[in-house]
Amino acid sequence: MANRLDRRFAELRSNNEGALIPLSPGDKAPFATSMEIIDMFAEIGSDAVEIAVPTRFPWMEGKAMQTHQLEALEQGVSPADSFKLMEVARAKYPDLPLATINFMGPVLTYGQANYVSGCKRASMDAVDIPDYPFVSRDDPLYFGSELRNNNIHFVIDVTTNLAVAPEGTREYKLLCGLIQHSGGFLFMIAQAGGVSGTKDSLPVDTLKPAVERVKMLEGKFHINTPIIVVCGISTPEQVHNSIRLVGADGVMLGSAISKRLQAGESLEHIQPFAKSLKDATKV
Amino acid sequence: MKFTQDSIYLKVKPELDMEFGKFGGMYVPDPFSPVLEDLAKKAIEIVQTTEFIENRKKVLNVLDISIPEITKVGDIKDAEVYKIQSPVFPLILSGYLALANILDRTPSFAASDENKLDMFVRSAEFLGLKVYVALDKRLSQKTALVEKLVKAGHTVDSKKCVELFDDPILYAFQYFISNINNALYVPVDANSGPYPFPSLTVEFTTGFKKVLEDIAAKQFDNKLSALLACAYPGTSAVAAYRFCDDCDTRLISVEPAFEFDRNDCYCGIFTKVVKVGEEERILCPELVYSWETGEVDRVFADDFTTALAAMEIKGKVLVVEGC
Repeated sequence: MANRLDRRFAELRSNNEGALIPLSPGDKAPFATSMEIIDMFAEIGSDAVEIAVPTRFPWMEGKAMQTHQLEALEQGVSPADSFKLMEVARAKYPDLPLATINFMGPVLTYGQANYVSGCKRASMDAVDIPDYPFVSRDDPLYFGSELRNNNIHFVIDVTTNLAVAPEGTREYKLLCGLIQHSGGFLFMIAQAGGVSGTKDSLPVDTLKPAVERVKMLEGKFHINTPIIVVCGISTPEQVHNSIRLVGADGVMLGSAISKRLQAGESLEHIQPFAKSLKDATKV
Repeated sequence: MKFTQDSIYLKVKPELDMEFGKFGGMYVPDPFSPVLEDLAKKAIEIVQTTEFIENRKKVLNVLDISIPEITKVGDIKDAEVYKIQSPVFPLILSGYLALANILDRTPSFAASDENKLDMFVRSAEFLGLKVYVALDKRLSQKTALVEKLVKAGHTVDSKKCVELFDDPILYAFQYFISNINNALYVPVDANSGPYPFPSLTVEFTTGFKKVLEDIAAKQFDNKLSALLACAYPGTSAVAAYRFCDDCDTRLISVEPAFEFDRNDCYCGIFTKVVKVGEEERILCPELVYSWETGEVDRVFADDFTTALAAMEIKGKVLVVEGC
């Protein structure tokens, strides 16, 4: 069976449409809050949903996402709870591409084999573990290969700095390796240090040459991995510009929705905003 | 006696390729690896220069740190007990601050102990460095302390540990990674961080190994029956045990009883977390590894005296005070 993400991106490309990939925090069974959020994301037409597994050292997360992580840990949410949530979401949305985000430490704490089998049980489409050195250390624990052998994409991250590395440098070699190993989609990260959080303006001047360079190299290697911008996007205009001005294939966002949830806004109130973000991928 | 050039000179080329695992190295995303490799390459060159040694000596002098001396405690059962204060904290601190000064980077420090914070700030200021400090919840509430640091031109984070995770190490590391070309993480209390930090931390403690080797030879005629050190976080213990790589001395870590002991991820490293009283404590991964391999005995007691009283040790015993 083809990976749902691959199918979804093929459809999006034929419709000249970008992807919206929002992030859902997790809670404990019966997942009252998180399933409501995932339902909302599905209703507005999200192209994939990322489900976060809480960690106690979220060093690439900004304030909004850390707040979610902290709340989840205080509620006692464990990786086992998060995998159960993924299974529940999968049962309800058999065709919706699902990805999960976590860090390598908790993967090892939970057990790499348990982690992979949890992803298999929920029929996840991609795993985003940003701190696993899949390319620079040549898949040291065979984690990436194991996931891919199970039809689960391992998400590759590229920063805007790395994307414009001059030819002949070590950075360029790494960039080429990352592109060649990419699958599902590839994250283009614009923040310093990769730390998440909403931004007032989209750094088009930084993102555009980075995306163009990666697309050029993808062409060179006969690869067509969609590029998803991650840079604190929080408005429909930023979504639109990421796709139409920057040339990305979609956007991923977490803090924009999380900040509203944490400010006490109801999902009914947030839904039109979330819908406007998805609509901006079509214009 | 002051630390001499010989006692802080790193004769051994640091092994800057420690992996995630027993030494505590954490993984970082692929795009960060070239920058960290560059930092490692520069650090290897710098730690062997005269300029680096002079910078370290300046820090040790301003902190008035001398080579620790042995004092006799007395006899406990059949053991003749001596003690020595661990100099590991100032040794590591002086290493990172000297490196930050030469690299012209902002040292990034996690503070949960006011005395250690004072040592860090005084040393950095002596070298003319402005610093980033993440304060834990308790220190964040000390308004005068925060104001003093800000007034001195330092960058102080006194909100995150109050509003989010009460974990200054998280924010000190995050500051470093967000300013990866201009900042330098200073992992003093936990041997944590990505390549090359665990290796650098280990190297900076080698002065203590040399002191112990000297003491063992001169004062104990190399006949030391046991070496006891505190387990939390274990940086001093590991530094002390290293001098015994080829000797028959029994190595013992001492820790109070704990509520739970779990494998966990902390500071991005895979290690053990124990809960003692109300506090969760993080163990140095290398110490955990040495328990698992049987190189070090794990003993539970509230203090060294109680530990020794409960054990059958004959001969000379050295207790390393300070964690």
